[in-house]
Amino acid sequence: MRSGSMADRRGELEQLSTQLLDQRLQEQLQNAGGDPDEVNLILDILKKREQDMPVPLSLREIPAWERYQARTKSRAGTSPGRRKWILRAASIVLVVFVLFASVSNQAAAEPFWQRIARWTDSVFAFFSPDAPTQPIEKYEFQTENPGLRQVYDEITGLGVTEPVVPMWLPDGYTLSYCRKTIAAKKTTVVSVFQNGGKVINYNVAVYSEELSNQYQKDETEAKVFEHYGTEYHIVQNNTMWVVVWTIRNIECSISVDCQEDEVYRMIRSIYEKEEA
Amino acid sequence: MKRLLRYMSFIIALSLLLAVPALAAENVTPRASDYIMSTCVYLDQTSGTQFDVWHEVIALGIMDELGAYRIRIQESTNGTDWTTVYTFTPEDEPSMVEEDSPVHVGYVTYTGVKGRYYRAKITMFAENSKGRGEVVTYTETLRL
Repeated sequence: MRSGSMADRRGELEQLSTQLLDQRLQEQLQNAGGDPDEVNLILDILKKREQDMPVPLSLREIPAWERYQARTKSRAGTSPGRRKWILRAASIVLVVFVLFASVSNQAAAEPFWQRIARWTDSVFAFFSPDAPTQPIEKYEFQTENPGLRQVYDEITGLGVTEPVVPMWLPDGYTLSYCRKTIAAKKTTVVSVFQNGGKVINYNVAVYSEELSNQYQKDETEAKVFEHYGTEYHIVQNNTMWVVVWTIRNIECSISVDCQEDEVYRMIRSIYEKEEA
Repeated sequence: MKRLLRYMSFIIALSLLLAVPALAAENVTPRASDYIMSTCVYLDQTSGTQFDVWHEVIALGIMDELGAYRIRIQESTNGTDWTTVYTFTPEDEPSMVEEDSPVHVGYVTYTGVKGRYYRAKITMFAENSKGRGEVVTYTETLRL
């Protein structure tokens, strides 16, 4: 989970002991939704600590140590930037590898095939929950649809203060269902809007642990639409458009049977009131 | 130079390994559904040998009936070879199924053996007058 600026996060991490940093690095690398920024920060801090570590006097007198020092000095003198670049590239590749390896290890067990498939074949495997980078100066939820207002009230009741509820839906949709469900690791608000035989599902889940829903999709390529710093992942499930996005530990989703431009209009209406 | 070569061979080795999941993904059957939007399943250990199997299904609209059709508890001594040791059905656990709803959330409780691995294979379904959709999914593995 990401929060605060990079400097703040670095400050927080620097407070931790080397052992705790090692442990945290392992957790990040084993976690499919691991945070590459945190991994890089931890690697940087560990590297710095290693460099700053004082050398015991006895070591300074050992010829092997002197040879090692001479070797590292000559390298540092020739191309420090190149070494840094290589180390950074290697660490990025290592992170990518661990993320993929965790997937392939599970994929090797046949029964996990389809579950992993959805993760490898869709955007959700590499989801990185992110807070909006563009601050909203004044967020006021304004909608012409009374059902959306009811859903908004239910969601803010969960403690969600970020803009996540669309202020616009295609014409004719009215709220026919809205319910909060509480489970061991998540609380979800599920709502259904109907217009004749057409349906819009809009759901918000707040997780207390690392977890995600698995969304049904067809083989159509996923699209990513970025708006106000949030990535909206758009997939198709037969005739339905499915939009999924995360902010911190909140996962939101919409499924709707409508024109593609209406999908984008709904997404934009999360932050911007539609002008009449 | 030696170090550079070492890193190069490391990256080449990793590239070969990265090919594995890519090949796996190619053999995947898309899982579109006209009835189910999403599922979420997981295990929650509540005591030394007891755990709950949580299952959630969100349907594409209000369904006549939806929920878990079968919850198979699978056990392993090594985390690799699995055997189904118990099956929950709606006949025994009516709370696995819900009517006239777009969402079902529920859990069943199982008591296992200390030191063994467990996971659940869950068949979720949603059905209305037009038909029925099913999804089979697995929880993560839990070692008691």
